Amino acid sequence: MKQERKPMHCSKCDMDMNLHAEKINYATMESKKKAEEPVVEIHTCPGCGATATREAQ
Amino acid sequence: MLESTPLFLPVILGTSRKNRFSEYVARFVTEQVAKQPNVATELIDIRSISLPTDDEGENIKDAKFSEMMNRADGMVLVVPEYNHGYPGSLKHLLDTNLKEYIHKAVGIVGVSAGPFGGTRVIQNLLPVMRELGLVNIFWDGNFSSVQKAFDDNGTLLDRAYERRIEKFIKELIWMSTVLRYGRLNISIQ
Repeated sequence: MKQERKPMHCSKCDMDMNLHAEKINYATMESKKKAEEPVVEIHTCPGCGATATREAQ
Repeated sequence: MLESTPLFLPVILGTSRKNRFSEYVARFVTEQVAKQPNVATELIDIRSISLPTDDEGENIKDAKFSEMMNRADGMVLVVPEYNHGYPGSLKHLLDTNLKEYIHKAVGIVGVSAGPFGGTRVIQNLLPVMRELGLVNIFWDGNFSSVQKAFDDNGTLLDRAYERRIEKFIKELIWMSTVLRYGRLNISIQ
């Protein structure tokens, strides 16, 4: 069962970021030679608009 | 809050070729975007961004370009049609970023010396835009016979382009506003 993850925090203004997209990053797959497709989460800070990514679960 | 700050809609001049007429188009479009209320813009000339050619993708990010793309709410690509396709230098640059583009609006202005106004290069770019996570608007800019559209000083001769670009920009602003709200407020979960 998929666990709820904590939101990412913006490193600039410490706000909770909004998870608005998940995307397969083919470039990452090539470099790490993983068996699974590496899906990344795209987060945007509502305060300053900064974006951040982390691997999706 | 960020939602009330002006939209940032840079214009990317997508060719570094000498004697490019696309520069006149890009300057004209940038002026028109700058006239819009609550919008900021900047002309990004790919000629000014030096990238290595012995690697590709996010490994060779240009810090300033990435910061501009991160800040952008949407963008305009001014793209000449070379042999029915887009300049490789533009693709080389666009491929250096990914997360910076996602859920942001893009409008494409095609430029050609012939009669079709870059329609083929626009069509060729659509799958690239989609894979980069950009959301293409349904208005395009089409500058055909571009060598006749401007005088030697880069002044627009055919005023009909002003009205057409106005429609294009209004749609880009609408889409950029909606997507900014979504990026900041609407979660996929």
